[in-house]
Amino acid sequence: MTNDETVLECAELVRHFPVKGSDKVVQAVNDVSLTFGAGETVALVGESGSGKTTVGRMILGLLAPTSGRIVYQGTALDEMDRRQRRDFRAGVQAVFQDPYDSLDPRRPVLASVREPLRRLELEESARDGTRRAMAALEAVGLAGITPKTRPHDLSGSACQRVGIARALVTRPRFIVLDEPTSALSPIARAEVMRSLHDVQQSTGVSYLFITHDLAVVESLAHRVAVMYLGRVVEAAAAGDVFGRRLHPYTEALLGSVLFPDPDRLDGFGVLRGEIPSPIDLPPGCAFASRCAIAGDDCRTAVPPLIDDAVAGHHVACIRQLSRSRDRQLASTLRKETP
Amino acid sequence: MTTVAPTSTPTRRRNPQLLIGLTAVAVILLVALLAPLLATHDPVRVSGAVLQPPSGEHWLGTDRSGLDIFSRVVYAPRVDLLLAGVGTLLAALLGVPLGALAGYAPGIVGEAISRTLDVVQAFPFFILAMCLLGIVGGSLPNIIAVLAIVNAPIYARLMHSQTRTLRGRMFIDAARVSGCRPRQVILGHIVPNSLSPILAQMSVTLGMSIILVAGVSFVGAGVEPPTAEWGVMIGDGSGGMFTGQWWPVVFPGIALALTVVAFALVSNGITVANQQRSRRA
Repeated sequence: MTNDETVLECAELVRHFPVKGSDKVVQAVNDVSLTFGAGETVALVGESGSGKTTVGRMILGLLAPTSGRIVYQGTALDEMDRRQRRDFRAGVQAVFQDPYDSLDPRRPVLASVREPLRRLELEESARDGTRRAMAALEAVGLAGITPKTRPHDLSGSACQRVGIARALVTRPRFIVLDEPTSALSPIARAEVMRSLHDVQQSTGVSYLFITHDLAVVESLAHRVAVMYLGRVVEAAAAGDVFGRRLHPYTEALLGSVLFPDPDRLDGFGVLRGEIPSPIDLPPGCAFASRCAIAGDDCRTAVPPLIDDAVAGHHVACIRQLSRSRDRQLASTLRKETP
Repeated sequence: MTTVAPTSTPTRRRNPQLLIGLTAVAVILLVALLAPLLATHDPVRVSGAVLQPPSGEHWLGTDRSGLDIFSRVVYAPRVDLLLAGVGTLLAALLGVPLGALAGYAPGIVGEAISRTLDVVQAFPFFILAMCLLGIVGGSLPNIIAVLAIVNAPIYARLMHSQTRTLRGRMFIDAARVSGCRPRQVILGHIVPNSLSPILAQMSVTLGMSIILVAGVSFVGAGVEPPTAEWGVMIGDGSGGMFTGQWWPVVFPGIALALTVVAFALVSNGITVANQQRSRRA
């Protein structure tokens, strides 16, 4: 489904939050750039506090970046006129983490699903809006919704599918999925993931899939970006991140996942120590304090995200980089030497 | 977070406070409505029979102007409830948008609103009302306006904190992603989700406003005699308390107290009902 057309792009996004009563700032997001092709799923993974949700909120226009640009279909978010702004709102939707909390408890779910059509003036009449909302609900397998059904009448999985129906009702090109399955039971999670997959197959929508659930990343994502303390430390095609895992943090993160195959755990590092405070970030690599292979040179300057450290694989680690280059060089030499 | 068959029946849980309170309020409203039928005398027509104790002719006696106390007691809620009701409604209509705005748009606007409210609330409730009425005079529209002004900060504060809390909820983010402008988020999502505490507060304010009206009338800054109003009656009769003429004071006092208690019960009942509902959900 993927092609080369870029739907949305964010460049050098930075978001700092001032700390009350001091001059310090929380560096939630630092220099994050991501590109989303049509029909593509990019997973943004990382621990709590890595800034991944903040990136999602900036892309949705819910939070203004401190600096950096978000470009939707060629126009920057802060340079949009009224009409473009409306197209952006209709074209960029979201599914949130808590299925109950993301629906207004006072409203029938049908009204919540219809709301984007109503607010963005995309419906011809109230009847048209209701009909399309019903159609969106049916598309995610919820046919039994009546105009009186309220969120607390539904299960968590059904609520989350209502959320997906709301995100789909405007026929968006891009959906931010902010941990859409973390509050669900395993079966409900599978249901929701299947709905999301089917929707992408039939509509060609792009996803930003924010999660810390690495097991579901592998099944849905085309590309993966790993965040640590506000920075992308590794980004590549999903298979490459899982297979090659150039950054020691990625390796440690994967080590925290319980795979059913004991052999897969071989070689994964274990994460030690505390995640540093995003208020007082260490001068060098933010991961150095917990890294098994860090040296003194890691603690002097922030390692830049090197594009194509290996073809199509970006990584921000000076150590692994030299190691992988050595390996690459070695394999090249092996091939060349008869 | 899975759906479980409800263990409790979905019928209303026991909430005697709400039941008793609403019944009492209904009775008081009915009395006010039917006052012309219930009254045995004209509430503002003087007769020669002054300071008569309760009797078959004057059920609750007469005051020092010869006005029938029973008739005045049943007519009084017409004035008291009207003033308190309209005043409370205006206070909520004034305070709720201010509070929502201050909570939703922090920064200069929010600070300006909050500090202005601080100034209004810095004065004791009753003193402020009395001073304002002393300046503008105690006509009915003025009393309503003063009630609205002294009570509005309560609603603004309530709405301010409600807005701050709700703003962090995901359905507010979802509403924004759905294309709601700030005004639509506030009116469409924040206010509807704040109705229970607002209603509970309105019931409190109604009771307090009745006391306030009676209080300012008692000291002569509010409703003017000979209008049938509990505070006026208590004020007018207070001189006789020590010489044995207790009835001009005690009966309107009882009516006033019962009314205030009724509204307090309704307020508590709303809060309880809200807790029961959120526990069930």
